[in-house]
Amino acid sequence: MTSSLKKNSANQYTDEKYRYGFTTSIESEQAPPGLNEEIIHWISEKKNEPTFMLNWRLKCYHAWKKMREPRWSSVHYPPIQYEEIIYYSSAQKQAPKSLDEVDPEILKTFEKLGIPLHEREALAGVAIDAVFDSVSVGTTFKEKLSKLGIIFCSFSEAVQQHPELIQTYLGSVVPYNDNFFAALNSAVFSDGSFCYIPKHTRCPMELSTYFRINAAKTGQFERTLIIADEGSYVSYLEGCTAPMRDENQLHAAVVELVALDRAEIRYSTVQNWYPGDAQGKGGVYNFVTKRGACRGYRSKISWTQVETGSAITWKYPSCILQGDESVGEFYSVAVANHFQQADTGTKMIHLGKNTTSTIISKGISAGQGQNTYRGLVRIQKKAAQARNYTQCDSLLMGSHCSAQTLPSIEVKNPTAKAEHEASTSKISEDQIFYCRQRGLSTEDAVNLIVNGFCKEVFKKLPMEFAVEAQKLLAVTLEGSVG
Amino acid sequence: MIPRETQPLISNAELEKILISFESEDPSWFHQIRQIAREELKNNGFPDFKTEQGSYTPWDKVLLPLKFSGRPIERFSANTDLLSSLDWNQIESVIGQWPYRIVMLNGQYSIQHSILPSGLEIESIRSVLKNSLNIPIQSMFSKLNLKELGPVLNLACFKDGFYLHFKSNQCLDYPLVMLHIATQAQDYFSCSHNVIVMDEYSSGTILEYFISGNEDQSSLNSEMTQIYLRPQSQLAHAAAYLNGIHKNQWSFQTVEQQSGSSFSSRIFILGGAWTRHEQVIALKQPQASCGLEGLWMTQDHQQAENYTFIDHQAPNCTSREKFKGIANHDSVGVFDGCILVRENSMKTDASQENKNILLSSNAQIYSKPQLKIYADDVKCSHGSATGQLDAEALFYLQSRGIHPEAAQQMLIDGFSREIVDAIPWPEFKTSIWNRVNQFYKGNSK
Repeated sequence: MTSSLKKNSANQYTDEKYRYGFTTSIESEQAPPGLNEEIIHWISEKKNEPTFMLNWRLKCYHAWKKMREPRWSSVHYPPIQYEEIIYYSSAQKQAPKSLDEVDPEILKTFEKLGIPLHEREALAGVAIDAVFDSVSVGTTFKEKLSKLGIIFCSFSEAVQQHPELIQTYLGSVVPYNDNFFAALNSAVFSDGSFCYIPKHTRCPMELSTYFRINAAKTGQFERTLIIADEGSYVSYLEGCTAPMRDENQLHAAVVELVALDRAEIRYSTVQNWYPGDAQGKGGVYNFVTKRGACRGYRSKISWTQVETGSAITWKYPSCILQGDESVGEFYSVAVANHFQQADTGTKMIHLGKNTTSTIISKGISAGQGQNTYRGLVRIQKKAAQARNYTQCDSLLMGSHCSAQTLPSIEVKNPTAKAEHEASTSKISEDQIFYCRQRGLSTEDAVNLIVNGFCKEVFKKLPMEFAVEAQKLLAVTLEGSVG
Repeated sequence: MIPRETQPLISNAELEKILISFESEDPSWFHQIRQIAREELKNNGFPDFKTEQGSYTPWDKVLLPLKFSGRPIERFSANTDLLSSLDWNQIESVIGQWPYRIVMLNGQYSIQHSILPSGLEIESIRSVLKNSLNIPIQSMFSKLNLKELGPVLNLACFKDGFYLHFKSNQCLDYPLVMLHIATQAQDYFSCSHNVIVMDEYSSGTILEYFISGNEDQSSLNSEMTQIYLRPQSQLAHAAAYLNGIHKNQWSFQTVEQQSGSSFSSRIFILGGAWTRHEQVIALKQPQASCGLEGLWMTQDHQQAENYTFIDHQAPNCTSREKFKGIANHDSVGVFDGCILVRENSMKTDASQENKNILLSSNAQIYSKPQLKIYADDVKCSHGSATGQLDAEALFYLQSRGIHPEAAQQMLIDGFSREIVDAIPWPEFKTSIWNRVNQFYKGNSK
């Protein structure tokens, strides 16, 4: 009945080009491809780092050398040629001091992306630490934050100005030899964001960074470290759009969160890297290690992610619930369309008493997409009265996509309670028919149903992100019905 | 994870010795398969804590009896000493009285003790393998997946087992009881391999009991059963593991189902030091259905593991899984279930449920309910819950004047009843209840 209609709309949207696909031509200063001790010395020197950083990088490099690339995930990709990657690229030779010094080309790029720095500053009240390639371009609202004692700056700046904090917390959540990609990141990371919220301070605005891969063949290795001291609160947003590339680009980031007594960190991500074209060519490999440690009593870490982009998404934002009565949350929407592959989930490690964790994961697969939820809930012996609730729902659109749910539940305390629930379904003909009968187009009907499916997670996103996420979801899935 | 350098559990020289002790006269076609399995064993060795499959198992303890298998196996075969030492009254007090039984003594098929129904084709697997005219059995063995340790170890070592064939339209009037008895004087490893073929429209019930004494010596028994269900055949299967406290049992079951066939399985792990039951079920043709249920109760240092893999290869198939477990003292319970729905298996209806109770602070439970779905028009769900006995229910019962221990017993009783009450064979049910009640006694001490 509606097959011709469907086809038309499908073609219309499948052919829609990646909206954020363009590159800026700025001369970048970059290291030669490949990785060896010299390159690490070179990077460290370029960034004018203290010795402890260089030693740490070298330690990580030697650990990485001994490791093998993990193969246990259900994602498939051609072998990565680590010798051909350029590990460092700086967009400009000198770091700018104010927005006026920023290269106009870069500012234009942000303009095209729909995030003009100037406007954002005034309109949304969001401080943006924009990472363009690997070096920070401009940091706004810094003064306002510094009045409260909040440190929000690029990672390299933090290394220079707050070495004691870096030395204490760097690698304390994700150890240098944690996994292959984390070790690689630790050895070569170029920049990232650093945030410290002092005691009893509530960060008055949503902190945010925009990441963007630019120069060709450049792997980007960011590192984010957020420390929330006693009784503080911070909400951090991370959003990504990357220009169109034919060659696969490796993105191996590390995010470490530390929450002390009664502190709360909310970390939200909308990820929209280039997913590759409809034939599965190109796209970003997004291999990220994200982990938060709830160190203090009643501390809380909440991960919210909307993963619509990347050819391959491979990440497990995790919580280590060390402090008594600490709380871990994970809300995720992962979409895999065309040939995208998503292997994502979380780890909740309960160590303290009365710790609770909630996991809500929504996976949507369309086209040839592969979506995997892989999660671990471990309740250790001392985690009395620990509580976990997990819900994983998968939505399948089309007969060539797949959904896998691979949870692992380990309980070692008799007073703990862990629950897991999962279901798999498709958008039924009846639902579409009902909506069409009410005058909605098939596309709109699907959007409506998908939005309803993801509502639980979107509710957890900050306002402006929720809108963006909904739009992204609609664009990603358009043309996949039928 | 930091890689650990560890000594292999069993060195290659030891393995060579073990394999030699299990050398037997095989027909040439089978010899090839056995060689493949042996090569696989030599190349890949035994798993350790590093691998995903082996991460929950205390391999060092489990595989210990293997090292002793270098001794001549004949010492433990069905010799006259063992025959006379079997006390049938005692055995029947555990399992009840049944009209038909097949007795496997230390992994060897014992004709003397068996009572067979007339008309049923049952033979020793060795004689079936030697029959060169039996082409189907050759293809059954050549299709086995030799990647997992369970079947590889079994194929490399097994010497005997039985072959059971239900002809078309054949129905058994009473359940066929299969009695696996382990009587031993010292540490040993035994291994058996069985094949069950059910032709069109046949139906039958097979109840397996695993019993052994409480001797001090540890032993490992590996048992593998291949089950083939032709169109419209029905097999009801149940296994009760009532082994002694030093017995390690590793069962591996493969089931291949054709159109309209149905398979039901009930697994009760209520004894043994370490018991692992693995089921691989392939629903090969439309309208096939399978239902798996299980109950395990562990205490002291026991470990019970249930592995299920249901492979939906055809449309319109149904599968149900329900596994429950209770772990007390220092015991460990594992459930690892996977449902795979292949691309063209539309209208699949699959569900999986796992519920566990922890009674002590040293007990551990690992649950891995997995779904792998490659088709969109399917109904699949799984659920897993692990916790303690409901504190409010306990309080309620106590407020009615019921002793805490009795209250706890009532709740455990209710928890296990869901599985036990569904058993359709009264005598089997009684034997399971007896064991479950023993668990209470052990629990309250």
